[in-house]
Amino acid sequence: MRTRKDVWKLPAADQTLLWYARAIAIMKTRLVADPTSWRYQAAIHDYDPSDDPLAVPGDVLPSASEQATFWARCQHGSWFFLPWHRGYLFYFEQMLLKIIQQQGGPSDWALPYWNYSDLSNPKARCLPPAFWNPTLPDETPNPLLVTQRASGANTGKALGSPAGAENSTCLRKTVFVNSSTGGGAGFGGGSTGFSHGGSVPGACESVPHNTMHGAVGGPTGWMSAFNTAGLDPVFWVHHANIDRLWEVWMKRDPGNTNPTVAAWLSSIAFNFHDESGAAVTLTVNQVLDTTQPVLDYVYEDVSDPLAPAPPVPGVVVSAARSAMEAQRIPEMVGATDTREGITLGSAPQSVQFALHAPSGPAARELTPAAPRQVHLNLENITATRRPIESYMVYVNLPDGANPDNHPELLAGLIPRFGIVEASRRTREHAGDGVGYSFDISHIVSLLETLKAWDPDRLRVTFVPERTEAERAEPQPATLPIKVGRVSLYFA
Amino acid sequence: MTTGALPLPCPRWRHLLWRHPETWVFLLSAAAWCICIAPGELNLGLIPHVAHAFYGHAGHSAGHLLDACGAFHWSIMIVAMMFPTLVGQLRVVSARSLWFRRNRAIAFLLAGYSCLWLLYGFVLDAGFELLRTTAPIVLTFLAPFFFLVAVLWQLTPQKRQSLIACHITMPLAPSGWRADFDCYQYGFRIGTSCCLSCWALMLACAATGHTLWAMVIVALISWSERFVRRPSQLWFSLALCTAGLVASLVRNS
Repeated sequence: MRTRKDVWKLPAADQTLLWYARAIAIMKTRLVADPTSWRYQAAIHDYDPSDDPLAVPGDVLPSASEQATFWARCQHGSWFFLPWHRGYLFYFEQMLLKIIQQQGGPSDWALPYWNYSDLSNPKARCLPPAFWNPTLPDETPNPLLVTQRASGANTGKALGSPAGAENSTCLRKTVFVNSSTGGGAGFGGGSTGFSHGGSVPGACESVPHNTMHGAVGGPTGWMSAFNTAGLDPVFWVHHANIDRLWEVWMKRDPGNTNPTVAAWLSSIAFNFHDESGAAVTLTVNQVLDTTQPVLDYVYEDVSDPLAPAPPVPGVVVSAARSAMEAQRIPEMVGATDTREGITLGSAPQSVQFALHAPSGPAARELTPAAPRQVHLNLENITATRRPIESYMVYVNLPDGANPDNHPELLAGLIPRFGIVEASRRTREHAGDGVGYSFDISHIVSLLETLKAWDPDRLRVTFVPERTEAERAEPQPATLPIKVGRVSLYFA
Repeated sequence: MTTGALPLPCPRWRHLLWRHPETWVFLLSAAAWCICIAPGELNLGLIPHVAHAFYGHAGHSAGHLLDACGAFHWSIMIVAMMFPTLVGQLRVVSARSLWFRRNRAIAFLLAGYSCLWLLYGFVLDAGFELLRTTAPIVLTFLAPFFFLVAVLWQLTPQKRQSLIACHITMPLAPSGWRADFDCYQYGFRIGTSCCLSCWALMLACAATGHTLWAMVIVALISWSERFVRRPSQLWFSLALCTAGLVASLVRNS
């Protein structure tokens, strides 16, 4: 069984990344119509013929029907996000492994993962030098180097913000599937069919997945766009970490369970190619256990990075908890009334809206075993084109206050990744943008304790997310994004 | 209309209605199907009687066709066949509304949704009436022809695009007349996309004289393509061909 290892903990003489680079160099020599080529593999995630940075005159693309079957298949804003990407990574890894073995490399080579959330590693949010050194040890160009990245990415600076790299929010989720009625995100995403425009991503997909995509890509880099993300070798080690987090979440609490419905397990067969280029299919139930064939791999570390929650008397834990969470019926208690939505630019911006006293289940169904949850929802977030900012969202941030001094009021982030794609009308999307749902119960509790919670009014502030490197040097002008509506739910 | 205010003694029922505020729409749709089936005739029983009384003539095939396109009949058909496709949007619009406005929001969405469909029905009615008076022989060939059109439309990218647009969501004002207007506008927007997506299906169905079998099969196709996770346009086209064949056989028997 192969072991996927932490890229920052590889021993000095370890050659995992060197073999990764050599195999990618060979994949890059293959024609785009070859399913085992670098460009083909990236196009499986998404492909835009008008924005293909590696296009060359005389390119012969796969047939239209082949493209429709295999390209632009990535699942986002959906409960298929995790299983689809697991299958995608697995077959990509198999292609690399075949090349590595042919080149005389280790037969147990496995894709490493980048654990940017590791609080014990001060460099966790930095890219390892192997991804930005200009050359390999033999002085040939480094295939892992991509210049289209965020400021500081290729000089060893920390990327994104700590809030965008953390994994505790998603790991603390107690259910896999999002509420279907506005009551917050689960770990894995919402139950969707073939069209999932305007839907809310799962907590793991939001942070750290989307946020770290945007952190590596910056406003204009490859990692920030669906169609170019797979062209950056960082993409694959990033997704290996996301895949690992799914294992961590499953193992950290016996109450954390995957969906068991056929609609998720077997309704869709994902199309991929194996290492020889032959077409294959995978269903979700084939990728649930990584230690079983077909997958046959484990992660070096799937320990729980969070302190286990102390048991609270009277609070239901374990499997029954999922059922209880599913019984919650969210109730909207207020929303912005902005006709044209809220346009966010490069300066902080605040909106306020009235709150109504709950009159439905949020007023009648509260019990000590199921304390009130409060969710801040951002609906129909759209943007026409890049470059755009990522934003940090604060609740009741006082006028003129420095957001850096109020991490306790940070509700969540709006990552730039995926917004433009979800705003386009395509064969898969209606073009109504993305949504995010933040559990702000702890913020509301804090404000109530401090007597600073106004039950009649809520103020939400959007602040562009900037790293230290980005603050230190001038940034390219960005285009606005629009938030269709901000709403508050009690559940 | 507030479900939450109703004195429902059973917590299970209360939770069911809280969780599924769209339930009454499905009851409405079921009632519409009952009206279609009630007399026990496969050609829609009661509705032609109403239409016959209105138009004052009895049913040869062209007469049936004219009857079938009456406004009342068309409205019943929209409620029966199309309202169930809105389950996702009904849940969205109620979840995105204040608790006491949920059913009102659903009602405004349905009003907006029905507008273009009703207009389409009136246009069809006028078209069939014109054909009946000027070239009645053409009516005989209309059903198979429109089923063929529906099959071809099913295979176009525009069909797929409009089907996806049926799933769109949009921001809604939380209160006041703008909340009502937004729900109406949302319904109109979905209705426009659905009209574009299903115009050929409904036209073919109408051209059979609203044979119940055609209605059932076309309804199943339109529901399926809204709810299956990866719809196959080819599969639906084949299903449509079957529907057309069955409907034609039933109609000519």
